[in-house]
Amino acid sequence: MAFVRTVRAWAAVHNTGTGLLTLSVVALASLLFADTTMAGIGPFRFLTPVSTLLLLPAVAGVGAAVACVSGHRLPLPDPARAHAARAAWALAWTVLAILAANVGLVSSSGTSFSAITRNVVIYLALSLVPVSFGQASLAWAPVFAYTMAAMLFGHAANADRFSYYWWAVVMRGESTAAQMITAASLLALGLTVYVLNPGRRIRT
Amino acid sequence: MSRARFALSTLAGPWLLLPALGIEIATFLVRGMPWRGEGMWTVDWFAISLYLVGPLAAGAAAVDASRLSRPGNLHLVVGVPRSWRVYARAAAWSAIPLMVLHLVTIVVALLVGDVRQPGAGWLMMSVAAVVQCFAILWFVALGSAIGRFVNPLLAGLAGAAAGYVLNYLVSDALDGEPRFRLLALGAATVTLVGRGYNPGYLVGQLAVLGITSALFVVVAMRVRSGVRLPSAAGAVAAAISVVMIAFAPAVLPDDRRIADPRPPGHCLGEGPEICFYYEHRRYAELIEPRIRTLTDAALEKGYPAFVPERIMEVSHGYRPDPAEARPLWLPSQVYEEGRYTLEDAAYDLLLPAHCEFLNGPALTPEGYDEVFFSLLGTWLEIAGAKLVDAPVEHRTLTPAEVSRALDGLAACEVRK
Repeated sequence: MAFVRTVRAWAAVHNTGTGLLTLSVVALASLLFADTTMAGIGPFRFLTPVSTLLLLPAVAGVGAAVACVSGHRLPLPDPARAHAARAAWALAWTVLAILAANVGLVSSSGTSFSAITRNVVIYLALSLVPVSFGQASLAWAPVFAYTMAAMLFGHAANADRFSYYWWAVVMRGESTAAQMITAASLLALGLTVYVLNPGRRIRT
Repeated sequence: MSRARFALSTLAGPWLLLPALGIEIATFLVRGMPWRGEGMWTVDWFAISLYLVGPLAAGAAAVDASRLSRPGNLHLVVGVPRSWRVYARAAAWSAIPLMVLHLVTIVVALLVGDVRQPGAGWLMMSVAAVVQCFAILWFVALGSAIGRFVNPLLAGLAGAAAGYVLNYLVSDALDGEPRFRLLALGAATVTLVGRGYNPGYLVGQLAVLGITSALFVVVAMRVRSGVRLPSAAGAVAAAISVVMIAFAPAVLPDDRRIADPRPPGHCLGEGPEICFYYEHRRYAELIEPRIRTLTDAALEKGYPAFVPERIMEVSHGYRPDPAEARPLWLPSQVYEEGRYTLEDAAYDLLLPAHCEFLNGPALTPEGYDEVFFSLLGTWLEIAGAKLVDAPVEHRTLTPAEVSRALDGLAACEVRK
């Protein structure tokens, strides 16, 4: 019982509700728009139409990062056990975000599980940066800036190289082992920074 | 503490200037800066950066507005007279720096391209640039209106996502039908010579963007049982904005650009005389020598039939009468890479672009490819070049055969 009480208390001082709300919206959108693709942004065509399921991880990543924001605003002691708890909490939200973003694959085969998962992992790593530096309300900013830059500038103009640049990897519909390892390393880095420095001077 | 320092320490919006500067520079430098020299294309090109700046500005403005209306700051915005002013001041710190940056970028681009006599006219170009600035204002006002009612952790996400989705819904992304679209700001990736702005369209955009931005900013808030809701007047203002945006296409003009049938006026040399648009004069030193190489070789080797009297650059609004001049069309690699080969020049000058079979469903006459590539191969050969790959067998023609084949192509027939 003590464990359950601890988890409940932990959930209460984090933005659990906001995170769950966001991930529910993602799961619902993932189901509804599983077969929708986006052909371009404005007058710019993508190399090939991009599945909505590859873009929803952006929202899922921000949602999971927001759930990791602690709202207690108290100068509490921060022992090693608290570090471990924070790491476990963040990992649990990573798994939830991956599940929510992949729900659409139940009814569609428009894109692959590995590509969606890769994107969730990259986006979560990106949104953990502002969270760790106490700017939780800007968790969306790097994610949006990066995604739209990849959309607009992610491939050569005359498509003689029929692929996105390495840095615009979120636009690719397939994922390789190397991409997964890179994405996982990014997330490991983001999680380490978050666990050591969870943005104590939170400004929301 | 100065006002600017206070704004920087309390608001997210002013910080957007840094990423926006990066975005404007990236937009400036990509694809080999093909817009240089063309006035209308330069202005329209920089609408590209707004696809990124717009949603980011909406997100940042939403964060700032939601921080004002969270518990602890509510006393600043509820129960005070003209509470919208507080939001408007915060929004102005997002919008004004971005608008100034955007205008400065366009002015620098016009200077870098040495634009002197833009076909679209300085007045309309200025109006189009102001429309883009109004679009930034609009994204900020929209974000500010959304942020007032959302908790700070989600406000940015909601504002930026709304901006991103509206980029599709009220611009020309989903279909290309000519219709009034509030966020059709240009973003041209091909030359616009031969087109001009439709003044009615631009003024319509200014009016709708301006009025709806103002309505978004004045949406006031009330708190009932801890839930933040729009006041009655605020709800009406928001509803009027939505209705205005939805019904604007019914009353405003459909076409943002109108054709400008003026012929090119920057003519060089004779035998043949080659005319470029003044805005394309920087390409003359790339293209003229290639054409002169071809025509000089043709005259020297006894193939005068290849040499037209005049060569006129075509535009979206002008195409020369085939009896008077050959059309010259600049392919995209001229703009983007500064590359134009002898083969490009010969191909373009020989192509019977006025013929129906190249423009519509009519069948290509039998033997066309053979004749066309024989002409092309012959011309390149006498100019000392070689046709690298042709889809059909071709042979070197005699001057009489060339003359006969060219007369045939002028009449859209194949004569061997």
